Amino acid sequence: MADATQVVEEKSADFAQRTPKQIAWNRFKRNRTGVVAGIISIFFVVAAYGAPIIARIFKVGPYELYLEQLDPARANFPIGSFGGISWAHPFGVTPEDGRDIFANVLFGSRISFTVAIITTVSSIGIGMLLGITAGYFRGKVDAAIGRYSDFLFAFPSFFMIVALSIPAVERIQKLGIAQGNNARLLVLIIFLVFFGWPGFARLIRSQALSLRERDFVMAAQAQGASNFRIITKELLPNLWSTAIIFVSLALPGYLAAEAVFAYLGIGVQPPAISFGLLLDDARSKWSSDPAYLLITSGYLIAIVLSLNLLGDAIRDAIDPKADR
Amino acid sequence: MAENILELQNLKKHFPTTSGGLFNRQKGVVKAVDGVSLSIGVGETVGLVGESGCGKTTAGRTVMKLYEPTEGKILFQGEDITNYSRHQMMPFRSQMQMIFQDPFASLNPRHTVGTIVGASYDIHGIKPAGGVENAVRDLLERVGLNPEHINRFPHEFSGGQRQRIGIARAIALKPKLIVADEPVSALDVSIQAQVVNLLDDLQQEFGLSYLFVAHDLSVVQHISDRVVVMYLGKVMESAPTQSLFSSPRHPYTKALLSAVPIPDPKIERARERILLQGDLPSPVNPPAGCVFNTRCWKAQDTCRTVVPEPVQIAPNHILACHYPEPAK
Repeated sequence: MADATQVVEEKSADFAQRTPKQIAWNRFKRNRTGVVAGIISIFFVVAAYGAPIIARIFKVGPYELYLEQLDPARANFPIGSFGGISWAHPFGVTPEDGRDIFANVLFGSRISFTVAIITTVSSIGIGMLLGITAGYFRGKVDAAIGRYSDFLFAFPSFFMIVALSIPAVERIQKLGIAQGNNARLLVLIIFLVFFGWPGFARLIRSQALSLRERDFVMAAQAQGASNFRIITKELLPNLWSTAIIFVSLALPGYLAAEAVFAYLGIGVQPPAISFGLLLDDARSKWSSDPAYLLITSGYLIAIVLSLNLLGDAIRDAIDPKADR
Repeated sequence: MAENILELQNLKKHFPTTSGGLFNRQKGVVKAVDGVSLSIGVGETVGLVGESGCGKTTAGRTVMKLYEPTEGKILFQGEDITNYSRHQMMPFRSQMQMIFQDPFASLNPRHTVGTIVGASYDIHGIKPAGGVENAVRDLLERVGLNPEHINRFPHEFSGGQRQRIGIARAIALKPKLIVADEPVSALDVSIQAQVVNLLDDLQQEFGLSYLFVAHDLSVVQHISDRVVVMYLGKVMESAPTQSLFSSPRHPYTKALLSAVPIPDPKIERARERILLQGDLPSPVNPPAGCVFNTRCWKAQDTCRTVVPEPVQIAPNHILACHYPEPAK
């Protein structure tokens, strides 16, 4: 037995000690676009959640009216070029009421990020639970979950959100769960999650279907492991990478969705600040101050784009089939 | 021979084939295992051989109750465990374990070796003396791995080392029976010998019994005390290794043995080889009579209509054939 051990030991020296995580991280580091997008994304998240601090550093507030920046002679159009861009107001001020666009964009991205993060995490939670259940137990459970998600896929969800959001908000306010903008956000998140989980559940189901046939699942069964143990200890660790990829690709989508719904008047209402509301306001003043719309929409596009590129890079790093 | 550790009585495992679609009507059954009887004594190794698709892997998994048997009985140390639930099976799970064919699929890529090998203690709530980690280190050392590698992941090991990890996992709870499902067929020949010798050593140390599923006859000849030859879900012949290899009585056994190459060109050129015509028939629609009749060179009309019953022709030698080969 002794020399057998020797042989085995010698052989193992040839094998690089790298965990799947390290391999993915190394692959990610080599992707320059991904690294840059990652840094920019972190910057945006910090800017969103540090908005009060950053606004104070720049000595601007989202609700303050900087009327001295407006020119009464030109129908309260901002003084200076590009909508009044200056060191005091890096993104300029809004026409007519003179609010600082930089502070507004920062505070606006905070609500968008919050909605996007809560929605993504909730739909992943539900999608993962139901996807694993369907994929692992198959049969009738799978059929029931599958048909139900088909039904949700086929449903005209957009119109449902538009049509039902007002009565739903009223109901929530009457029940005293939340009031005002919180109630509106709650309804929006519930709707987005309700129609968002089936896509993820399908993805996870397909993975679970293939994983459950692997020998290590059979080995766990032979050892006497319960279904719960097999799902949590054997399947889940193999599904995290899929979940991470889904997060990075779904997050920017929900972020933009929040802006769209706020723009349509379904999300938060003034005085709250949101991308949708800013864009709506900017649109109405587009002909007199195009810089307002360009800067606001440009900031949103930059967030969504950097998150999307980051998501792509993460997917490329984790997915071994993408290895060149 | 003392008491049997495992006994299969007319074990059957049929898989339904369905039409798919909305109503999933049952179309037919695949008779993967169709009436297998065998017994394994304490400390004995029984080889289960046959070509691909003959149901030997399914038989092994049904023994482990990974598949619910359709018919027949599984007796473990005389106790009928055929219809036991998962909870009722728990005490037996620690006494029978499995080694898998593919060392790359049988270890969870996200777990460390320590987690994989120590899982049994966790599942059965057993606290080994000196702690789980020490127990795992002992096991790794026992199967010829470096105990310092306890925190490594499976992908850092070679195929042979991975198979050793699988063996360490199987012997963690000191089982009495190990179902080894082609444990060496995915390995290089040089590594095969090491793993087979390891299995031999462990058998002597722990008094294990093996159900050794394989298609490599030379490995089976080396490790088995008795060999069961399967064809299309049925047992064709079962005999002590010595007599089966020296004088096969069933035409199928003879054909199988003639396919084993002999490492001597003179003998190899001179000897008579039996080439079977055609393929394994579909287990959905097995031939009437003897299942081997479509490829047997000795098939008569009786073979096409009457199923040959397994008959004991010598001690421990069971044969299911109407026209057996003469004994040597």
